Amino acid sequence: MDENASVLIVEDERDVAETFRAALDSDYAVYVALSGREAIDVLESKDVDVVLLDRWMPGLSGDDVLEWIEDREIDCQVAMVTAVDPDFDILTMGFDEYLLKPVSEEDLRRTVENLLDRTDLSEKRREYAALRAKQTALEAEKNDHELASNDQYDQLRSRIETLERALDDADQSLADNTTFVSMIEDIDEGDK
Amino acid sequence: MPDQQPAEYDVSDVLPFEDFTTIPAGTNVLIAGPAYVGKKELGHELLARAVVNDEDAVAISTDGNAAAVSNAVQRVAEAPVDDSLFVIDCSRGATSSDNVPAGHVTNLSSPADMTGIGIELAKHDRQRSGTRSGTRVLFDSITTLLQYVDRRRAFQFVDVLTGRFTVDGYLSLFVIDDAAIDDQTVSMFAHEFDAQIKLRESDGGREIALRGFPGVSTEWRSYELPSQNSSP
Repeated sequence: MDENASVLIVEDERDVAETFRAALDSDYAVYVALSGREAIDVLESKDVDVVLLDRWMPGLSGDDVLEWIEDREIDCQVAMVTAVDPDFDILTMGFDEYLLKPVSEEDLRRTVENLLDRTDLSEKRREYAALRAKQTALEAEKNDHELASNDQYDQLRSRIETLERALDDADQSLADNTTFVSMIEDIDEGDK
Repeated sequence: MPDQQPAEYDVSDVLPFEDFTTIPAGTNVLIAGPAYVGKKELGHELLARAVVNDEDAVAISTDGNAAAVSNAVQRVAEAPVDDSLFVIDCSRGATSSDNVPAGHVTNLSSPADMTGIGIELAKHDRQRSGTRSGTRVLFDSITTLLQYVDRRRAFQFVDVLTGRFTVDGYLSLFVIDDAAIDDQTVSMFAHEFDAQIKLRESDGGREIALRGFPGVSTEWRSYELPSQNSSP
């Protein structure tokens, strides 16, 4: 559980929003927005890791907020939490999870945890790729003695080994098709 | 690991060496060598054995279209290609293939559509019958992928794919032209693989070296593809 992580609940029904808050606020910093407009205000002023987004709201809808997040390339994971059955329009929408109401507290907590794990893993994979590139560049230029006597190279190797172990441990999660595709999507969209 | 995956994959028909008959499930193999040395053909031979051995075969093709892949597999397996072959065709000249049952070929617009490749692999995972005894995957090739995607993202993509194939107990084969790209890049990608099959041409003919397979000689040895041996 990452207590420094933050979750934004976007839900126009106050009772539902408070139920979600109660399920999460012992583990995360939780913000609540009761409209799309309020959600954008929070996203403009706070770092948010996960957004739980209702689709149907008066004024700015959840779909509008999602589009705003995508347009501004806000670095967060989004779960649509909605009573709207999914239709083909979701194929072009850039969310990371789709939860159909009613959602149990356990499902909500598990979803947030999974989304945060994905973020962490994506960051680790990015760092691993960058460090591997540095390692191979150095190994191409320096001889074994130069490498063996350099503390920074030693630290680089040590960090790569740590990341490798962490990623190997996490590979089990790739057996889940949603996680697998989502990981690749993160890479695909990485620099766009 | 899903059920029905074997403990190892038989490669003895393709690589007839006494000290090397099987590859453990979950192994990711890099097939490396310069152009025209037979990397693609070796990949097809190893993939085609899936059809013969009642395993699933998945070809992710960035170079040849679906028809070329299925024709090669049909020729090598000397058997009609059934629904055990699933082709993800990312070549721009994509065409469907009459040899592969409908629904078993997917055309993507380019190798840069990594998400599309991921979705198709997930779809195959859901669709496969579950009665076959394993899955072989051929990714042909990293060299072409690097023409569409920067090195860092290509590396991360391969990292995720190899992780998934290991968890699923697949035998994966990735082709790379190590003469067409710089040594650093080849070395970076090689780290991602459990083992390598290297090919080269020498004065005495084609040679092969097997690296990273426990208990198997790493020396260069002469080699001909079985399908070339049997051709008239």
